This record gives sequence, C-alpha cells and structure tokens, in this order.
Amino acid sequence: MKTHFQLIEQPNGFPNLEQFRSEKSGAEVVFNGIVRTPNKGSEVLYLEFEAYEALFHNEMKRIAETLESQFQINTIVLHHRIGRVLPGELAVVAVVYSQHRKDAFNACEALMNELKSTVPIWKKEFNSDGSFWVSSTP
Amino acid sequence: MKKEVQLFGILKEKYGSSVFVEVSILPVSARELIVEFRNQYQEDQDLPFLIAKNHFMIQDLDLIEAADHVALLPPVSGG
Repeated sequence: MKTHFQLIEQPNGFPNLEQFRSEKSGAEVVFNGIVRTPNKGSEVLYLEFEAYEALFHNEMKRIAETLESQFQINTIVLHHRIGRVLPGELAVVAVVYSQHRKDAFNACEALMNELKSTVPIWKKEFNSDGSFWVSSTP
Repeated sequence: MKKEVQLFGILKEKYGSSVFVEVSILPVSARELIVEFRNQYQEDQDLPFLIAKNHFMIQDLDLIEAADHVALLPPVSGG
C-alpha cells in the first residue's frame, strides 16, 4: 500500500491526484472537505487550522495500517490545510484507491472518521459574532 | 522537578506554546501529568486531554521519563 500525507499552507498547494492513479486501481474515491458558511446561524469569516506535524504523520501511518487491515486498499492520500482557510476553500482532501469501489468508499469514510477523532489538527472558527475553538465532530 | 509540556489549540492560546508542570517524581504516568497540569494551571474545563510522547500517542498509564518530549492535546477538530 502506498500513502501520501501532507499539511498544506496555501490554497493552491493541493497536489494533482493524477500522480497517485494506477492501472491496478479501478476505483478512486475522493472526499473534499470545504469550509462552509453560515455555520450555526453565524457568517463564517474564516477557519484557522493548527497541526502538530510530527504526530500528524505518525497518526496517519497508524490509521493507514489499520485501514489496510480492514479493506483492500492500494493507496491512501490525505492532504489537510493549515493556517487561515476561507469559506469556499478546500480544507481537506482524502482519497482512497482500491481495486473495487466498495472498499474505496468504505475506507474513505473510515479515514475521515479517524481524522476527526485522533489526528492532531485543531480549528478555530472566526465568524460575525466572534470566535471559538471547534469541538471534535459537529 | 519540572517537566516541560508542549501545548496546542485552546491550551496554547491560554497558556502559551509550552508550560512546566511540577511533578514529585519521574517517570510519571500520563494520567498523573494531566492531573498535575489541571491542578497547577487551574484548568477547570472538562476537556478529555490526550498525551503524546516523542510524537506518538500514549495511554493513561504509560510512563514519561525526563528526556521525553511531551505534548498535551485538547480534543482534535480536523476536517
């Protein structure tokens, strides 16, 4: 299994997915997480993401190994923005390549669930009413 | 003795990028270090903190030595 994990500072810093495709993978499932507004009745101005980079990579490796034991996966890609991210911009791109679609869909969902529960990234929302640290899963 | 602990997220905003936590003896368990941090910094929010040692997650009963790099992590919220 191949993996590619990266924290990205710039909105246009997401790598082209073409490089991860292969003739062995008949399925490519992509989840794009986009900053939305409004949120809970307030106009979102931006989100500020912070990460613990060394632990991010170690946790992603651990998650990938767990997913590999549960699903038939050829490649896992996870790219996450850090710093200020505006509404409409991508915050996260999670991609799973597999021989067949079922494993790719299921593994991609599991990847996002794990991301939201254990991967050391934090976000603070700045909105029209002030700011607050976002708790785990909305 | 004091153990330096790196902070992130809401904890970093409140206390700075790292703090020193006084402990009676090293090694200390992750659970004890969290208790001491809460006591010494009057951290009364009931957040379920996690601890990382040398850039890996550890559990409550895992031990932290003097030379270990330690980080205290509030609940994550990526994605």
